[in-house]
Amino acid sequence: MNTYAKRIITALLFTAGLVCLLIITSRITMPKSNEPDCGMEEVVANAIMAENPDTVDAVFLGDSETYCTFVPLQIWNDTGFTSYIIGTSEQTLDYSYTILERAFSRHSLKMVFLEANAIYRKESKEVPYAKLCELFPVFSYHDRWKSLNRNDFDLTATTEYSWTDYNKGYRYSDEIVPSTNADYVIPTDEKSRITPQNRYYVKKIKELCDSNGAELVLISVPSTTNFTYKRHNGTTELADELGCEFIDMNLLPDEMQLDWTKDTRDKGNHLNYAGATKVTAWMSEYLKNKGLMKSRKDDPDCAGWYRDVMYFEKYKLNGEKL
Amino acid sequence: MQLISTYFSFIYIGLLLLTIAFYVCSKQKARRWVLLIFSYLFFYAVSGKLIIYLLLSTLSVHHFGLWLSVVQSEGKKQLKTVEKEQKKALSAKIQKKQDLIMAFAAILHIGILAVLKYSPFAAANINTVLRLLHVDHAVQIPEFLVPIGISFYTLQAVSYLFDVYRKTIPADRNLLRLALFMSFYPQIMEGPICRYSDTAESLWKAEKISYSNFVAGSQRIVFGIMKKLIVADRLNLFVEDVFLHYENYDGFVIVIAVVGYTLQLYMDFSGTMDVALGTAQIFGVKLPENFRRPLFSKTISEFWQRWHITLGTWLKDYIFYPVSMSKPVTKLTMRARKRFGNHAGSLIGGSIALFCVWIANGIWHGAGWHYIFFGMYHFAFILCGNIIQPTVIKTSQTLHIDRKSLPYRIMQIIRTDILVCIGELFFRAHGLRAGVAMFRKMFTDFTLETLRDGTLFTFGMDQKDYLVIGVFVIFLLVIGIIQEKGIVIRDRINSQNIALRLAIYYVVIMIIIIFGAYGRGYIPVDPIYANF
Repeated sequence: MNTYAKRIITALLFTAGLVCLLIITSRITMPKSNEPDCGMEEVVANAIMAENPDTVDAVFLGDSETYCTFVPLQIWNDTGFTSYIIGTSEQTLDYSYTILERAFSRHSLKMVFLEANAIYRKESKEVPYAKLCELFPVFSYHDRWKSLNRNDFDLTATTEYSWTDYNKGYRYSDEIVPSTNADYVIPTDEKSRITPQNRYYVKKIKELCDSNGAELVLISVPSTTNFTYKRHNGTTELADELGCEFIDMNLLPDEMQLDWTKDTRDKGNHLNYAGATKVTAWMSEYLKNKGLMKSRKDDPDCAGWYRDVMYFEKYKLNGEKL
Repeated sequence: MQLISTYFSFIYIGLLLLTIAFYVCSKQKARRWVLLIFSYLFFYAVSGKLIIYLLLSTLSVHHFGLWLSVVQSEGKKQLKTVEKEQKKALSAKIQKKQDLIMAFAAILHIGILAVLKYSPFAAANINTVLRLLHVDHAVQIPEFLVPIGISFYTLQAVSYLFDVYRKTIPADRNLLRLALFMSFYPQIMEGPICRYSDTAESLWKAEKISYSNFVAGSQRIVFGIMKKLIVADRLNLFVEDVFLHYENYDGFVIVIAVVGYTLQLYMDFSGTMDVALGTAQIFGVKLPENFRRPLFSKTISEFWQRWHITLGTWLKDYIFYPVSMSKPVTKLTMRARKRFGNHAGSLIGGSIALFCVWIANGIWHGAGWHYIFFGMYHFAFILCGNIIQPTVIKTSQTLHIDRKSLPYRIMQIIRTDILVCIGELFFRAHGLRAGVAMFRKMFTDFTLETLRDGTLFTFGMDQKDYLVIGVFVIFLLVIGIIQEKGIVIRDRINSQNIALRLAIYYVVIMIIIIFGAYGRGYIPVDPIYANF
């Protein structure tokens, strides 16, 4: 065998060995439970995996706007529809895709709402890193070396999703920091540019929804700091291109009835609970009219939702964490 | 400037792999183009439209180099044709012309650097003076966007021009070769500061990638990533917070942060250099070393021969020697020698040149009084070292102290490291006032209470993080001691059988993946020296 062939074989063997090591260490470092103190990434959003299988019908994808705007338990109270927020702080679309794919593996979603702010977020420069994390979770969970125990070395063990978020992803805040920019909707014909990478991921999300029989809706939630008419125009064009609906709540002030002196927690960037209930009430009506989901109030698999409503009410009253 | 830890990002790794792929598939003459195109692509990726500065600088260097060359060759021709008695006058005239071109070129390049980097600092100081003089006027200078690596490629440009001017190298007619020398991407952000004679030719040769170079270069890159990800980036949160809010912490925490910063800077900078030198080695280019285990130095002077070596040699060649050989300083040295003796006489002349070097060193690092103080701090210690050296030798002989004994050398190393750490305190502090306050706190507010109450574990670093840093520092210490003995560890590794070699590679790679400070909970840290 000549030197050249020898080197190629060595390189291949080396790579194969490395892949094996990465698989083994990924198995070891993966959290064995989704409890918040077990090191699971984006623990609240990922808790959708702990909901009973096929019990969630709609999800909200995107950044912090999603978990400040929609109250799934209110939608449940109003309609009996089950929804969950899988939006995460500063979510980039590559992660939106990953977490949506994960959600589809557990639930037969009927509707997927993608908050448009994420479409204009600076694209993630570390998409290869995210891909690597998907392939080999050790890149995500390597820091768990600090808390490894004997169970972690059981290479057959998988992650057990047992912890659920009784808020279904919503993050409650009754803080009021008024916005001084109530007249923020200024029409223009200009369009914001959507980067090719973000455009690519929205298309992929649409394809994922189509292949799973879910309807994708682009949505822009009320925000005096994030909304621009240029973005509205850009998203409208993208929605037309993809053949999906786009709801811009910023252009529906009469329906939303928001009072920007009381309904925001941080000067118009995010809504507080008072603002969220108004927007959610509209969303409940919208979902009813859409007719794609059915009430699950009599579904025994969703019995836990009644308990979660009780917890949430208790939390609102006493600030008790459960 | 937006770097996002460029040398340690997937962008860099991707670019390197692409460069290798294109390089391997190209014929010899096309390979140099591959290097040039990818160098400019990289610079554009990190600097955007500021690439124009690099382009202009390259064109200017090329032009001035050729101009100097024309003046030199025409002068040579003219000298051959004139009478003997006219030669001296003509020679002086030619020299004067060269001096003017050189001065103009140097002022232009250093001027651009000065305007972009130092004008806001200068304006702030002028305004302070105006305020003190109760003048109701303020100078307003906009903050310029500074291209990455300008401090490095400007020094390369000036060194090239000086070398042409001194006739050490011929002017390069080939603009592309010069452009590659100026922009070669592994070294453009943080150096090493290369000389034309060191790298231009080997870059242009663009030799085939050999197996041994590929392996050795990759080993070096991995070692650099290890230093940066395991130690430097892990220490970042702690160092950042203590230096920003030093008033909240006692002297003990400040001491730990100062030592931590010195380690962070060393690991970050030398790690980046390992990546740069390793990348270059893959393409068969030998970049000059920038570090030689500086924390083993016995004196501050030796420290600067081991730390940021290429900056030190640049300052020596283009500031120290020209100043110390200049007419006024030579005259002063001669006079001082006659009056105070050889040692003291040489010291006086040398001190002036040394002062210029350390002022330049301080200013080069950044626009701030603390950087100038940093330069003066090292100047003072080197000067003192030079002054007291004969006395120290004499005293140790009298007291029968063996200056070559191990305990004595260890004592010297510890002393030098303490002085280096104090220097780095001022270097890292947010301004000179903060530096002085931190230094004072180390002595006036020193208590071990924070060790007991767990303050040290509130910076996103727990006991295990400190343990990782400690173990890795000991590991590097052992490697350093072995290298000091002249043993080349990589050669030793390469001489082992394949199974053992692969095992070593696996262990190193897995150590980086598991113990590296990256991903969730860590903020990518830009290479520190890229901002200088």
